This record gives sequence, C-alpha cells and structure tokens, in this order.
Amino acid sequence: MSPPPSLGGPRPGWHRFWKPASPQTFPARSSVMSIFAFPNRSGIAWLLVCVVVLAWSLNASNNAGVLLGCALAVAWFYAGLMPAGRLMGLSLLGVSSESSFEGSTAVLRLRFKSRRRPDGLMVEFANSFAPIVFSGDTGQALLSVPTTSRGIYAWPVIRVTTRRPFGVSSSWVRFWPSGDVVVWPVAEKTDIPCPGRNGELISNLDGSKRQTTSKAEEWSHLREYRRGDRWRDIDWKRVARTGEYWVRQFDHQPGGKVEINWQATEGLPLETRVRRLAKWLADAERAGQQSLLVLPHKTLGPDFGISHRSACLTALAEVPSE
Amino acid sequence: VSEVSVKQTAKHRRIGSGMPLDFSRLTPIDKTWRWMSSGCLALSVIPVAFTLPLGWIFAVRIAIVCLLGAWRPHILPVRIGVLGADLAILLWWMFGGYPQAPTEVALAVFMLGVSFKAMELRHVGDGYMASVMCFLAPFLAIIQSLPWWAVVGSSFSIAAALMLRSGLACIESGTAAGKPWDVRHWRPTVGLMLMTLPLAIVTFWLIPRFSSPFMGGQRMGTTGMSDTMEPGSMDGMFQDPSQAMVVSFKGAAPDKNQMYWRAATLSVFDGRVWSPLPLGPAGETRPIRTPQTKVISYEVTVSPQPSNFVPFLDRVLSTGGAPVVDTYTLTHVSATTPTKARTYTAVSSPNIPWELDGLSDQARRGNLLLPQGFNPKTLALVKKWEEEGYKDQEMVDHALDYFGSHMTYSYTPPLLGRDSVDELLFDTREGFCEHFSSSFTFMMRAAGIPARVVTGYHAGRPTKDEKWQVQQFNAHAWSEVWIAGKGWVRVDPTFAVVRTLPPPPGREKSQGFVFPLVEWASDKSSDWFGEFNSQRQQDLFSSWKIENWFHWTLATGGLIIVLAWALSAFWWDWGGQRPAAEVVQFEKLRMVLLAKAKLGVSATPRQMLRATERLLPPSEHSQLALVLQDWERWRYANEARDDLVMRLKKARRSLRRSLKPQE
Repeated sequence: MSPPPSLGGPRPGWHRFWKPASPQTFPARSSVMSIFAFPNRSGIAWLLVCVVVLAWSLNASNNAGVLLGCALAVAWFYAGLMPAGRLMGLSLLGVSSESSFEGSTAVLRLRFKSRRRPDGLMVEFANSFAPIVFSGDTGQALLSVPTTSRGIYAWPVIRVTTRRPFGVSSSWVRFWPSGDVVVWPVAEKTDIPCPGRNGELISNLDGSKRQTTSKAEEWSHLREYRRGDRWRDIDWKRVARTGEYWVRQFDHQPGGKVEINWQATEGLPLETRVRRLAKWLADAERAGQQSLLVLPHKTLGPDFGISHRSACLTALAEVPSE
Repeated sequence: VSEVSVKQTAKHRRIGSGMPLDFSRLTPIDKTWRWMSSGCLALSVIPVAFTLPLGWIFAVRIAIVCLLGAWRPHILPVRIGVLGADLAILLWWMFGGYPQAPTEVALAVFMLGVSFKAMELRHVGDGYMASVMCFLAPFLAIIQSLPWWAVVGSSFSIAAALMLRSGLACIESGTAAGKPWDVRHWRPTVGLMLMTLPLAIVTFWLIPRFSSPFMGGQRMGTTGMSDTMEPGSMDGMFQDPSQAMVVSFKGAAPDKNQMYWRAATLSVFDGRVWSPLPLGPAGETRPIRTPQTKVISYEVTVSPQPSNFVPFLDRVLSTGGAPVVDTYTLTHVSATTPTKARTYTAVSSPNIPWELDGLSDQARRGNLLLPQGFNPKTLALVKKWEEEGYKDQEMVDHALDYFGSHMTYSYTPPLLGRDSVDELLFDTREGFCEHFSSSFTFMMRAAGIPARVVTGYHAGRPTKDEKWQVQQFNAHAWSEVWIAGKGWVRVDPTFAVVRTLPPPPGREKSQGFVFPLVEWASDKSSDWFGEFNSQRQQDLFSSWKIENWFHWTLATGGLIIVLAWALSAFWWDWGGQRPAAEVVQFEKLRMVLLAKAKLGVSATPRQMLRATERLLPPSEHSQLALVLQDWERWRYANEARDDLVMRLKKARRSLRRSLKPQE
C-alpha cells in the first residue's frame, strides 16, 4: 500500500532535518530535542553589535566596553532561548478537519495544551499560519490551507513557532498529527442530466410522482437538528412548544430514486467523470430524490440526506487519479 | 476564541524559503510603536551628538528626522532629499574644520545613518533593527570617553529598546501590544536584565584578554607618558588607574616621597609645548659612582606605553643594558615603542651629584633658551626680582615661596591661552604639576639659571607581594635647575604649592572610619572591575593552576557554556513544570482552612463550604461559594476565568481575617 498523498510537501530547506518519524498519536508532547531556535535578521544584527563592541573593547582593553559587550551577548543568548522555553511542555491534544471542496480552503482545527499558557504561538503549514488562542490551559488554532485537487490526504507536518518575548529568534517545534483531511470534488458546471437505466430516470420506472410537499403523517421518527438539514423538514410545532429543533425523518424519500453510475460517464476524462457524478449527486439532493452511487470500488445507497451525501462525495474523492 | 483569525494573502504565498515565515516583514508596525521606535533612536543618539563640535546641529537634525519618522514612514524621494541635506551639512562641517579627529567624522556619519532608520519604520522588522541600533548608545558614550554616569545613563536606552522589542514581538504574533510601559513589556525586560547580570559578570572575568592591542591602535586605558608636555596634557592620566610599572627593590625601598621615576627630560620650549632635545653625545657626563655612593638596586617591569621613554628611579647609574641611554639628559629610550611588558634591572642613587664641575656651553645655551615674545609679565616680574638681588639658590627659593603663596592645586584648572605662564601666574593661579613645572622652569630660565622640565611618575603604592606598583595617575612633572657647585638639582614646585598631592578626581578615599564597608566595596570593585586586565586575569587563572593558553580558552569557554546551560535550564524548568497558579492558590486556601477549621488535607470544595457555613458571616460565605464554584469549573470543566487567581487570593485573605482558630 502506497503512503497517502500529502497536502503539500515540506518546504525545502536545510533546516528541515527533523520531523516526527511517523504520524503522532494524541496527546503529542514537544520534547526538548524537538524544539529548535534560530536567530532572525535583527537577532543576527544584535550579535554583530556584540562582536563589534567586544572586539573594540578587548583591543583597547576598555573594561566598561567589555562588560557592556558581555552583557549584550549574554542577553542575546537568553533572549534567543526564551521563545524555546515557551514551547516547552506544549502538547497537541487533538485535531479535526471539516471536509472541503477542491479549490477552496480546508480548515484544520488543532487543540493544544500547555500549562504555561503562552500567548503569541503561531501554527504554520506551508504558507498558511494562524495564532493559537489559549483559554485556560488549552488553546486552539484554525488553520486554513488552500486545496487544489480532490483526494484523501494525510495530515501534514505542522509547525508551531514563536518569537516572543523579544523577537530575537524564531523557535519552532513540529507535530505530525495522525488522521486524514478529505477534499471533495466540486460539481461539474453542466446541464447534462443523469441517465436512467434506459435513458430515463429511475423515478419514472417506479411510477410514483415526485411530491412537492411532504405530509406530516409520513415521517417515521424525529431526530435533533443538524446543520444542513432542510428547513421544511423541521417540526416547527415542536419548536414552538419546546424551543428545541427537531427534524422529521422519512422512511423513503418522496421524490423517487436515481441511479448514478460510473459506467454512464464512459469515455470522459477521469476528473470530468468524477465531477459529473458529483453534479448528478447534487441534482438528486436538490430534487429530493434518493440516490444510488455505483462506483468501480464501491456502491452506496440508495439513500438520501447529509450523511449519505458526505459518504458519496468521500467515495468520489477516493477514486484513484490515474 | 473570538480572536481567532486566519491570515492568508497572495503576498504571503510568495515568501517561502526554508525558514519559518518571517512575520516581522509582513506585519505593519502601528502608530504607538512607531513613536516608541523612533523615540528610542532619538534617545540613544542625540546625547552622543552633543559630544561633537557644533553637535547641536546634528542633534536638531536627528530630532527632526525622528519626529518625521514617528509621524509616518516616508517615500524614497523624501529620504533622498534628507540624504542630500545631510551630505550638505556634513561637507560644510568637515571643510569648515570643525571635526578634530577622523573618529568624529565617522561618528557623525554613523549617527546620521542610524537615525535614517526612523524614516523607514514600516514593518515590525524595521522596529527591531532600530532597537538593535539603540544597543550601541552606551558604546558610543564609552568611545567618546564620556563620564561613567553618562555611560550608565545611556544604558537605559537598552532597557527601552528591550521593551520596544517586547511590544513589537506582541504585534508580530498577532496579540495586542498595549501601551509601551505595560507590565507585559517591562516585566520580561527586567527579568532578562536580572538574569543577564550574573553571567555577564562571569563572562567579563573569563573572556580572553589581550595584553596588547591585536587590531592596532593605542589602548584608551594606557594613556601613558607622552614624549612632550604642555600644561594640561596629563589631564587624562589622572583618571587612569592602570599599571605603569611594577618595581621590586633589592633591599629596603626608599622613602615614598623621594621616589621620582624619571622618564623624559624636556629642554626645548616653544611657548606652549616642552619637547626633548635630540639624543646627545653618549658616555660623557654620566654621574660617577664612588665607593661611598649609597645605591638602590631594583628590578622594574614597565607596561606597554605610547612613548619610547623608559622610566627609572632618578638618578640612574646603570641599567640592565637594554634601553639606549642618553647620558646628556640621563634619559633611557627603548629602540621601539614597547607593545609588551618589559623587565629591566637597574641601579640608582637618588642624591648622586651630576655635572658638578660645570655645564658645557651647548648645554647651558640649550637650557636657557626662551621663545621670543611670550609671557612679558613674567619676564618683568623676574627682572624685578633680579633687581631686588635674588640669584641662584635664593632665586629658586624665592620663586618657590611665590608659588606657595599665590597658587592653588587643582586637577581641573581653566585652559591656558597663548601666554600660558602669564595667565597662570597672574590670572588663573591654579593648576597641577605640569602648570607649575612649566612656569617655574620658564622663570628660572628668565633669571639666567639653566633649567629644564622632567616628566615621569612620583611615588606609587606597595603591593601585597612586597613590590611597588606605579599607576598612570602617578604621572608627574618637575623641574631641574643647574646651580654652580651643586650641579643639577631637582626642584619640585608642585610640593611648594601643596604638602601632599590630593587624590585624583574620582579616587577620593571615603571616610574610612565611618564607611569602612563602602571603602572595602569600592576597593574590591576597582580590583575586580575598573582595573581588571589581562595581568589580573592571568593571575586568576594561574591561581587555578591553568597556565597553558589553550587550556585557558578551553576552561573559559567550557565554564561559560556550562553556566549558561545551567541558568537557562533553571529558567525553563521554573516556568514549565510548576503547577498552574490556580492550583497553587487553591492549595494555599485549603491550608488556611486546614489550620483554622480543622479540615482534612484532602477536603473538597463542598466539604470546605459545609465546614465554614457556621463560622463565616453569610455574605462572606456566599462569596467563598462563588469562588470555589468557579474553581471547580476551571478545574473540571476547563472553563477559564482570568481573575480566578486573584479571587482565590482575596478569598484566602478574608478567610484569614474572619476565621477564629477552633479549639
């Protein structure tokens, strides 16, 4: 089995000689050996000042100058270590990511814990960065990473950096969370409808007509409202009574069924096929139809609702690209 | 949580080399911190500007540029315009002949260039660079030889620069920076400075010292004896406690007041400067040693000096041979300006007569020569004394009396003009050895007595290992007159003015009876700081049995690294491993209840509340309940309360006040 593709390789550079050997389990603690520090531009300028002052003072045997130079050098050293001290004892409690469509940004959520509650920590990955905001001992960061193509990606190696409190050096520690980031395909912009078994919609073969209004009596059970549920499925009477949002669940979708088959897109380029299936899936969802997704490696449904849609999109994201 | 913001712009995508993103070049600086940055620059550079000739012009220019920069960053044409104006000022200043030395020009260019940074404060990184320049402020003060309080004062710009950096680092990391004097800036600054101090001092002692300059140039510390003398030129030496030489006498040391260390004999006077004659014929007029002569033999180690003259105890009979001897003036000259300490053995006899038999015509003429058209009042005075009948020894005594009754001793006399002797005798009437010996010699010559100026050192101090140490502030100048039948006689007009020399400025002894501790501390501090040099360092290392240079470096480096590591580990551990402040405060609260309400060690908040229900007034009890409820939420439900630590502290204090110990 080949390793999962990554969201983007580590940025090139000689300094990348350490990263965790494998994805870490949670909580992942930062160890002393995994914390790095390197002076930034003004840190190097500060060091140059020390060198100039010390060279002149030792040459001229000027004790005030030597003491000044030593003090500046020692202060540089400590101020350069302090950001590393802020990263000591930082641990990554967990990560989560919401699935996103290709071309948009994937929002990665990271939760950290540190007893010293350091402010001014940044999470970095590639060219994206976000601050860790601590509240009590725990903090979280929302990192948005641009995506270019669909797929199931391994979590990238992310880096936590800081320059506080004196901006002399950048200090960093790397984490490699275990887990996946799912990037769904986007729907194709096309008007071509989903063909049925004989070029017709499955719903027509069933003989039942799509109903534009749902009858309250037909639902089988209620469940709590989830984001993305249709408003018209909300049991408004119950909302008025209890103040809580409940959604009616039906045994079968009133709009009929549709089969979305990989074979129906034979001959098209791979990405176009995936996107067209995503489009038909969205069409079925909009029309209130149950959908059956038939892929070479998987068959899903017939089913409807947000979890079915997510499963289908994830299955489409999984389709190996060439 | 509401502060969570995600930054992602096209500009950021471009920056992607190997290093972590350089936020300091992406984050714009805000108005408060631009003011702080340019204020720090102004604070650190303007005081030094005043040390330059016509310094107020530079000060005004720097102030204007810093104000412009605090207002907003400026576009290139504006900066080029300012650069043009700077060039015009500099050229006018230089070709107007104002700067006295190339270092002053360099300093002016440096200061103008540094304050330029104030006009380009766009990003946080620019502010960082400005702060680095502020670190140089005390260094500039040291280079310009400003007094110690100015150096210490300018060190405050380091503290300001550190607070500036703290604020900029806040902005860079996306948190609010607040006001420049906010506790979140001065606390890490004070912490860093306190943490730095001990290791900085250890490093000061251990950093390898060099006994001679390795990059060329003269040592500021070793002002040393110069080849010429003009009244006021020894000014700097009186501030300098560094060692001029160490002497070990074979046998008893002579009387301290009779220790005149003769370096240069100066016979040529041009109205302002005394300078030596070219080397005279050797081996003719050397003092003759007879079996009756009482001699002092000794070994002298002379520290590197800017001058070729080697000081020996006046009058030297023979030396270890190394320096070229000019017997005509009895001065000893080494072939090259010594860069390392050198040791000579010598034999001297303080009272041996010299040129008793008479002076050659050439020598007589040379030691009577006066510049034409200088000091008319003095000439008239001496003429009057001659008419009153004073001559030879009587004239010498009369002149010394005159000095004793008219002059006062001062380390900071007014500067003298063209007729320096006239001004000293009739106008300013205060000075130190140089002023007195110069004027006295002039008067003697005017009276027809061959006379010359001798410079060198006077006295010294005994060291613990029974040697004598002569320091630079022991520098001295006196006169020699030739009197028939006596030969060359040493006359020291300074001691006609004062009985004993006052301590040089800044070296006054405190009242030993009242402040023995202060005196001890100032002694130790000059031992370990002011006068610490490569010699002291070598002594230190040899007391640790480290003689080899390589071992020395290794030991030094190793010790510094170990100390730094230990200290930094302490710092890390301190912050990282201690329990959260809330837990600490809660435990303290529990301890109070343990003592006063007889509760168990592991009492829960609820047990604590129940136990105190009867003991506390209702209002206080409900307060305690609220605090403990919040603590439980913090501890078990991870709900943060910013003021929880403070409230736990308050609750503890009020409990301690209102709870009576239970019998």
